[in-house]
Amino acid sequence: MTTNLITAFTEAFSPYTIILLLAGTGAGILIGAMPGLSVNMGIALLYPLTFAFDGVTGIIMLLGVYCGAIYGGSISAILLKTPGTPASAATTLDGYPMANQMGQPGRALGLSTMASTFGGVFSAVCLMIFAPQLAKVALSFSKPEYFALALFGISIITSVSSGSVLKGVIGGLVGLFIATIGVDAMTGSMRFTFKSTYLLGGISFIPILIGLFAFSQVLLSVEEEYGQKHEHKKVKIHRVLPTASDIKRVFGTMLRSSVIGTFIGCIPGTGGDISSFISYDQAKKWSKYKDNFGKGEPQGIVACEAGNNSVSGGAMIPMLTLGIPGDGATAILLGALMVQGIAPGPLLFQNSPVQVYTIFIGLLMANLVMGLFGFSLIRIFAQVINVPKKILIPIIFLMTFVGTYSYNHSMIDVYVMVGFGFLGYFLNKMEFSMSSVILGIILGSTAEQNFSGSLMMSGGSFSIFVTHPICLIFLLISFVSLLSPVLGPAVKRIFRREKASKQN
Amino acid sequence: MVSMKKCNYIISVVTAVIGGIILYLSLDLGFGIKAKGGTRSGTWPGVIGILLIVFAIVLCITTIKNKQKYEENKIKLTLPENKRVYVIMVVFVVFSVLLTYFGIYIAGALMIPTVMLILGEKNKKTIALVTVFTLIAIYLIFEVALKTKLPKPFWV
Amino acid sequence: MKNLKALGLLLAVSTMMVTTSVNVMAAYPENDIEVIVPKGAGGGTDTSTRGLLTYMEKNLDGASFNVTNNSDGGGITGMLLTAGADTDGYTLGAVTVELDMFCFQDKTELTYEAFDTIAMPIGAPAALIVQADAPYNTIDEFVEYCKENNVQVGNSGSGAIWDIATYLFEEEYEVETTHIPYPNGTADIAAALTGGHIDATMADPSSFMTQIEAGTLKCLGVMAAERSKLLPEVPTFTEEGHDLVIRAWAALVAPAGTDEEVLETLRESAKAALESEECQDYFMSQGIEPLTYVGEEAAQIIADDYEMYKEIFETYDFSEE
Repeated sequence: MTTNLITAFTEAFSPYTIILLLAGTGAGILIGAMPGLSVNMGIALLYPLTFAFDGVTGIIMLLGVYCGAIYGGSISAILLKTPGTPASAATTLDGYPMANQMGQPGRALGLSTMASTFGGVFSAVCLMIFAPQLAKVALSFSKPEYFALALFGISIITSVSSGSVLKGVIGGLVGLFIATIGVDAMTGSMRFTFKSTYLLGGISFIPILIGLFAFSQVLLSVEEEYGQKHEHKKVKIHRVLPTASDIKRVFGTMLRSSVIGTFIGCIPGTGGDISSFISYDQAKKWSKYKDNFGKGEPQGIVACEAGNNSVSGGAMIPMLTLGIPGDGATAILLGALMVQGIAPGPLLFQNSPVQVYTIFIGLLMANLVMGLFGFSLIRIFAQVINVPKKILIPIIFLMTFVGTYSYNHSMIDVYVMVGFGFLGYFLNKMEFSMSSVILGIILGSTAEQNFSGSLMMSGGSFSIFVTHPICLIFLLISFVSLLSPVLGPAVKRIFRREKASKQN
Repeated sequence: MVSMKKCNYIISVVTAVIGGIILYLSLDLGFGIKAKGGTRSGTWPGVIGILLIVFAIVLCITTIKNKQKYEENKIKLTLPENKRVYVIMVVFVVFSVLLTYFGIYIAGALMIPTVMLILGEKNKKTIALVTVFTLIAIYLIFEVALKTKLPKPFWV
Repeated sequence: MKNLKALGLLLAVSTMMVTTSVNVMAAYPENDIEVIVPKGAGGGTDTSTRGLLTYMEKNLDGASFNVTNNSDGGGITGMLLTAGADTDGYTLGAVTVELDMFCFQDKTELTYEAFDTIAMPIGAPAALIVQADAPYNTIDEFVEYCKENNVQVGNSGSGAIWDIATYLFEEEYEVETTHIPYPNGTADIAAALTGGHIDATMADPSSFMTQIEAGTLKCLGVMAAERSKLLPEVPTFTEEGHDLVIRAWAALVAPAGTDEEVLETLRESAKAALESEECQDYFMSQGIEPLTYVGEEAAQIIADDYEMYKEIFETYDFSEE
């Protein structure tokens, strides 16, 4: 085994590999930062380049793109309240307030970079040590479990709605409805399509994300900028690395979120978007600083970023050990490996041990390089805050259009984006939470299809939800989570009364 | 300045109406559980419709109960800064149309200066520089490096 | 004298015409050729189309293909765009077997007649795949098992191609199974099958190859005309006496009415590409069995499937049962 490890190390540290890794990670970060350009698109674009290189070298470059893109989304999320990728949508909740209201973009970016690197490295280590065991977890998930997980994700709406919980729920319901538009894959019938070819495929998610978050945010900036004669003083970045007190404050959150992300990553079909929201929700529930969430709480930023980057190692687990890709990006990685003659699956460790170790090392290195890039470029990124609004605003507007169009080359997507942008502007003012709508859209199909599918498997009997233990646990957690805004204060009141009566 | 109370009432009504429409359309699709176990396609949206109506009513009731609090909560909707946003909205509707027929470079070259002027930028050189620079950057990044297509004029 | 002059003139003119037409042919392709893929990046259709184009670029001088993904409307928008494009040969597209299905599902008016076929690189058959430790080892044993037990069969969506394959199977063998849709694709079915949550599936084998080779799953039969190169020991349903052929194909096409010479150039290039060893190796490594149909042969398959699905959708109603 040691000889294999040594060979793997030499392969991983060859000059070619390192150059490609740097290029890939850099490209990944840029692609991630730009709304509308997705991780999958980045990997698909650079995939043909891997043909030119033998062995795992090209794969390591793609790993760099993968990790970099998940991290890159946080940059625009923090600086512009515009998630570059869906996985960074939750980072806007605390990242933007810290950068904007508190005037500490450097601190926010530093925390985000640290969390992303930690999450990525943590999941890479889990991949190396626990891959076979976690793969078993992946296989044990059937439709009832997916339904319960999706329901749990939806229940987070009550915790993520910073304004009014009631409006958050309404927003979430609207999101769930939007997810139903199109062909119902469980029955084959067309829902709410009104004979439109576009609606047949459902309203695309990315235009809605860009519209609700980015476009509406820029409109808000137009309003805020009115009458500002003087540019507020330039923000200077004093230090890039997080302070010791910050690290102490967020370490537990970082660890917890990395565990959540690795776990969710290894379940096929779930990704960084779900795990970042769940990590945020859990961080808020267990935090001493609950009330600071949504106002620029470091734990909020760290939870999301550790949660989404730790999906990278987790998603590699079913891909490598079972040959089953967890999402679009790992599907392409799978294909790239197969072209090189490395067949993922149960026989991988026996047939190609050196390549496997090289991939592990490559993933570790990709995350470290990503952290390196991130920290060294924070000063440059943060300068975006200092660009005069009059110049920044039209540029961002243009970017939303270009980003939306690049996604699917559809002008209708662009109209959808603008429409949701206008809607988002008004909804924001009325204290609706955009995140709840997004959560509804992301999880709506999963929840419904697995609910219906579970009933198909049980022949119509609801007992299937209770007889599957993992499903039952998640259902109970969801129930508690949904009712927490109501239960929490009630429980507190009971405790206070007890305390008061004890003191008497 | 509009009060949150009024907004809440409007939201309640709109939500209830939307919920009602969804419920109506879902009943057409079929409600309930099939013999073999799966749900009919109208079940899930139908439940969503019902819940929307329920929560619209709850919102209405909560607003009535807390009249005072919501009356004091004012939302900026008709101040000069809002009017500027509405103008920008119109600009972008026009921009979207221009984009469809004239492509990104022409539409962009018109949009960027317009927006900057509305925002109050007076320096002509700045406007010109930003426009040219941004469009060139977009060309290089998207068309050359990433090879993704951008909207082009209809005669191309 | 006059005759000689006339002959000379005739010769000169004809030579001129021949040279110009040769020049016109040699001039294509001058610019980038856009190819619209109606599915998302990284999926089966996208991978195989891009693969074919990569190898075509190698043998077609001056060709540079620019792939655009447009997965709006389940793929219909992309196919409509290709059908409505200029017939100058600079816009091509990919179409999938769903082209022959959507028109019967009230989803569109578009049919295969809007296109001129260039090549068909893949046509994955429905393969009956079950767990390796299951008590049945042949199709017939499986059918017997279905008669006694409630068998759950995974597919990629109600009314989609693998669901139809299951219905045809049931009709042919006179059994009933429970259809469990997995809308996110065959990778999910592979996970469910390996995890023991369903009993079988009849789908494209490419997502299952790693598990089949590892010995956790086994394939009992393929619904194809000939045995699959990926699974040479597995019999076809036809061999076993039941004529079932269902394949999910993707084809490279041009809008109908494109210049014949342009089409010929493309078809020749595609044929050479698909027959080349590197291309075949590439496809096989992805778990896709490469086909080499171009032009007429490919068009025939598309037309045949059109008739087949017409009949299927007239006899079955998939929405309520």
